[in-house]
Amino acid sequence: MKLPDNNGCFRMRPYLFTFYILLLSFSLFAQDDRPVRLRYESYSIGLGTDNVYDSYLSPLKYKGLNVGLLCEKMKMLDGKDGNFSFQRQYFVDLSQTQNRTETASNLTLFAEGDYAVFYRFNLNEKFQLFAGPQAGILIGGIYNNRNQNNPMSVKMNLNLGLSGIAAYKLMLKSQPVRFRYQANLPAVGVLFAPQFGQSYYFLSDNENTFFASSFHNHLTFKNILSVELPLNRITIRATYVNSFYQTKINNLLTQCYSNTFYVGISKNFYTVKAGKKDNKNHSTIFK
Amino acid sequence: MTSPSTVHRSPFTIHRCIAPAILSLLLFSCIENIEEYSNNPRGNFEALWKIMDEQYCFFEYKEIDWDKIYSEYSPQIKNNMNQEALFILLNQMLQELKDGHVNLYTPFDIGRYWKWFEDYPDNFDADLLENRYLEPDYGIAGSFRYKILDDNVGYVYYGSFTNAVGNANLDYIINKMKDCEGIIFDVRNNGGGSLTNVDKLVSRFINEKTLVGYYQYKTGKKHDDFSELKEKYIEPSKRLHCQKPVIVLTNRRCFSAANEFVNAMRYCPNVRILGDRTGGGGGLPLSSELPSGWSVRFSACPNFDADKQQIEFGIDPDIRIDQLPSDAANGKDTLIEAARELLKKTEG
Repeated sequence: MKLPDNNGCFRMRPYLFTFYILLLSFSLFAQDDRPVRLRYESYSIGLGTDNVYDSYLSPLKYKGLNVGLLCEKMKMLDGKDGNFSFQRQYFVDLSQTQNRTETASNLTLFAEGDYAVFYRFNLNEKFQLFAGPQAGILIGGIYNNRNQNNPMSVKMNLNLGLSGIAAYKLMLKSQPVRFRYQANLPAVGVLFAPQFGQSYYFLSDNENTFFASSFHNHLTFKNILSVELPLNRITIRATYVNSFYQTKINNLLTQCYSNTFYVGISKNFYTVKAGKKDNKNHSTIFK
Repeated sequence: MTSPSTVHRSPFTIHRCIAPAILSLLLFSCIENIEEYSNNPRGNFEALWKIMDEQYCFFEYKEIDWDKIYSEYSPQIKNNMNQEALFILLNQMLQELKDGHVNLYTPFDIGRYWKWFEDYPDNFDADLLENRYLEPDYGIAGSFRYKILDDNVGYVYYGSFTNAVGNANLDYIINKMKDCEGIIFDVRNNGGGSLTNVDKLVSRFINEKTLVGYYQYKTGKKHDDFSELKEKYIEPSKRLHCQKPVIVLTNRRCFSAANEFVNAMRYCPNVRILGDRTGGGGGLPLSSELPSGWSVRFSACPNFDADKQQIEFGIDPDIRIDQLPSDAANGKDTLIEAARELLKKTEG
């Protein structure tokens, strides 16, 4: 077999090489021309109070402390003006609550993922509004340590709804302090619910455990208020989350209400792709 | 005067706020107001009566007029009564239900209804069993005590369905007794436990998927709000099966899951039930609580046999036998002896 005589080098035909160089130059030129769109990410841990009522488990309200994790990611979507963005929010909330005589306790765990597409309204240099549809999934349950054949109320929801953000930037000694309020309001979806007197022994046998949901049987909303303070190379984010979750179906009522304070960090990122360089011309979601 | 065309229109004019305000009002109107009963004798009485009224499952079957019971007991509630007096009164009210699955749990006592065995012969003597039949060389395989008796009849005692049913334990016992003339499976004084253990155990005595009964549950707060009857099948185990004649020994203290077990064993081939009627307990119990923190347990999901008959008040044996005093005096367990004779005849 005869090997090509190229002295160990890869040989490229001259016209192909010229085309490649032109293409590379064009893409670098185009990259330089456009601002780099930054991704926003935030991670926080929280502590707060939780109120839990679930008539499947008990006719009494339970109160106690909760701990939470909050992760939020946002990025601008493709488009000329960069006003469309995609947000992912993840909440994990774990609480231990007790009845008022402290003779029984509930362990509640909710994991929630919300996905929203926003359109940004730039009202002025400091104030922005975002609004858009949001899809969400919630999985969790409330475990009561006293009950025998009805020890747990399982929660599963798939939701479609609306979300809105109001963002305001305040300059404090030349440092931007960003305030943000977000409201999430699921409107329709599907939820899981046991029958009124159904033991968990028989949950797998029942075909009627998923139901269409709307405000008449499922009301959930979140109010999220945050402030972000730059500190050296990172930004500290303090967040207050007021969460309300209610289902009323099959004569069973669940109501969970929590107030949680989170502390964490947030940062804007950009991805450096091979062969491209940062042109220092950045575009952020929140001004 | 400013012309209309030059008036600056604020984005937050009143009419633009009306829609969000109405939406907010509508949403807040969807929030349920939860009212809890007071933690005093009246509040606890009302809460208990309501819990049972909405969730207890045997009002119609037992023909109990719960409203009438309210009328009888409500005037007796005084807010200055102490917790012991309240407990006694609430427990008396619950005993009207004649249900061994109804209990009131307090830090100082447990309210219970035990008439389902108290008024009947014991038909079981644990010391006699231990000294005359098991000692000195019986085996203990997990939750089971077992021995091959002198006449080559296998004997297994299982005292509580709260104790785990181990697959390896059952494999060993079934294999060990494969050459016996038959097996006596004794569940006397078994007060119940987990239904999962019932299924696991029965699956060793059937060779095909078997309909063993029906169940239903409440779908609403009215006394007759029930789901349709749902079939309850047990699948045969994929491990060792018992193919020998089996006699299940029962007495009035077989309750709840043990009652379910006896019911299911009736539909197994080569199985007969010997002894006294079981104590019943055919309603799967759920739990709730009172404002005082006292817990209450009550029957919520009725179970039926394969002929759709209630098993709340127990199951009659195939062979009805009581312990004879003369046998007891001679150190003999009448039920075990009768089962041995029956198995020898069956095998012969």
